[in-house]
Amino acid sequence: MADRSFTELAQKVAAVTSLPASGLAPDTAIADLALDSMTTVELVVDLQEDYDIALSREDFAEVRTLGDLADLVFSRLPDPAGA
Amino acid sequence: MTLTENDLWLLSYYRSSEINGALFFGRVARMVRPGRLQAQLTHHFADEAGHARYWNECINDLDSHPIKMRESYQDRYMEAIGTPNNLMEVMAITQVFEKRVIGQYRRQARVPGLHPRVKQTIERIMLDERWHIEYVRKALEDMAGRYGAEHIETTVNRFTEADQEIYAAALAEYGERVAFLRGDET
Repeated sequence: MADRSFTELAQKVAAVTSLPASGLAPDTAIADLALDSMTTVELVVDLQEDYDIALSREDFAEVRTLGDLADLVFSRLPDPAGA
Repeated sequence: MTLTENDLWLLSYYRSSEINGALFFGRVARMVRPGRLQAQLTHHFADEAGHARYWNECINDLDSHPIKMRESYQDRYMEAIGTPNNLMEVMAITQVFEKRVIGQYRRQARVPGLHPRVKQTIERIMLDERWHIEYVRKALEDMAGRYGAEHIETTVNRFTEADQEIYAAALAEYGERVAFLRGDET
């Protein structure tokens, strides 16, 4: 997983889904969260807005767990060292 | 004059769709970063809620009460198109949907014998709908740097094709309730 903490992403997921962050783990399957379609939209757009990144439909093709989601999001963040 | 059963159903459906629109834009308005689009989406959210109120008042003025329903036209979009994956897709769906709404209200306004109170409500809503189309078009233009103009155009075209299928399916499903709308589906 990328440098940023999974806990940070879990807190954002918890805020949108109203699920306790303590119950979210990298291996939590997103399908198991049983999100309705609008909450799913809110979650993915909220993350992109918060982190100022743009993700496509294709980017989500391999995302199955919250750990996958965290890897995807954090891998798109600009390198703080500017490398 | 009281509403026919079909008229009451259709106006209730409009009300339900406007309520769902307000709920949708309320959530979208919470997602976006501070800035102009945030203000526009909040305005849009308020407009949709206002339109639901206009339909409720219109139905009441025609001596009826809206039928309780959860169903709305927007529900069909998520089923057909899939979940939007980014803000550009949200705005692209919005553009296609708003054009559909304007087309639908315009067609309804031309129906012979339409009650003046219904026509007045449509005309009042149309004033807002024109602004919705305009600000969404501009928002999509502004997203070209982030998502690519060609990709945005492809997305809007894909959603437009889906919308045409969704509308045709809705007309077929709702049968006689919307018989007056047939023959000019696009």
